[in-house]
Amino acid sequence: MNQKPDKLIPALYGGVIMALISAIPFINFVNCICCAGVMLGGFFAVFFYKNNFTPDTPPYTSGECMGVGALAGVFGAIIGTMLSLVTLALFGNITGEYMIEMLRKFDIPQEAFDAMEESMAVGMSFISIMIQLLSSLVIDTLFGLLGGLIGYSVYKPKKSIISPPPMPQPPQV
Amino acid sequence: MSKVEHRAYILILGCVILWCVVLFVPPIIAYVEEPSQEISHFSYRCFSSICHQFEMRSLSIFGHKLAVCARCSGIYFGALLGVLLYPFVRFGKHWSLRTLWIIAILPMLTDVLLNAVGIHTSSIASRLATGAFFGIGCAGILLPIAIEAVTNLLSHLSNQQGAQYESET
Repeated sequence: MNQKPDKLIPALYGGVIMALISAIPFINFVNCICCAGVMLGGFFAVFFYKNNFTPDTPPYTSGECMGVGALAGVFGAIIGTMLSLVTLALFGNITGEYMIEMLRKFDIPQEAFDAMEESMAVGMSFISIMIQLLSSLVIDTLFGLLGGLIGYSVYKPKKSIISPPPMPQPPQV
Repeated sequence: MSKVEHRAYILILGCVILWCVVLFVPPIIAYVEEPSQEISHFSYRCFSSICHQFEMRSLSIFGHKLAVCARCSGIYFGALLGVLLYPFVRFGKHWSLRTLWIIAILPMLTDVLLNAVGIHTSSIASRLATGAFFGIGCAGILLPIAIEAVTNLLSHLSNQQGAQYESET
């Protein structure tokens, strides 16, 4: 039997998907639905991982899929933090501004808006970048792991039916 | 449940409880450091990537919103309830995975869509209830797979330790 395929490359692909969803303005709204974008990255990592399997390789396990999803989360957090810094430098916090504009339609006191604007003011200091990276590492790994488990539940390998060995024939007399 | 599976279940339960407890940390920090909001501001930002955190759509404790909105809180607390109930109740044992996912997400999706169309206005209670239903469903679907995965991992680790012990002696 062949050896199992490498987990690193599928996890990297999943991480890139995760990072793109998390860093591109407006697309990152997807993550407001319980980190759906991050889970999607973990899911796709498992999808790419299972595509590398051939009939000769032993089937993938739930533990491996969980690992691939978590690894995708680690990649996603690192790449995503770098990408979001780039988008922040290029476009500013346009997602936050759009959300505040959207909320102005509702009857909300000005103080609440001021607090919201203050909380959405994204800093580029070293501490804020490190906090973002660390929180992303924890959250993306956790939700990537969950995405990996969802991926396994969808692409669960079917148990092959092993036919029992033929019964020995009684010696003919 | 075998001994290893039981250990895996306890480990997962611990992680879910920890996650639910962590959601209370930012409002508690905000309450303790009042009127300054410097540390709590950072702690809220840690969760900003996973939730919109709108105050009017969130549950509050000590006058400060939780780390995530009411729907997300419902999902996480529902998941905790689902994990706690797992040893006693098994949901939809004979249903397909797709059916289970649809049943779990349907009330939440209905609440969101009816609110978007303007037929019904979502309240904190409806968000919390539909979120909790989805959370319980998620736990019911994913927990057996998670237990299997963690059991594999624990067995693999104990096998490795055994092999290392054998090679040393």
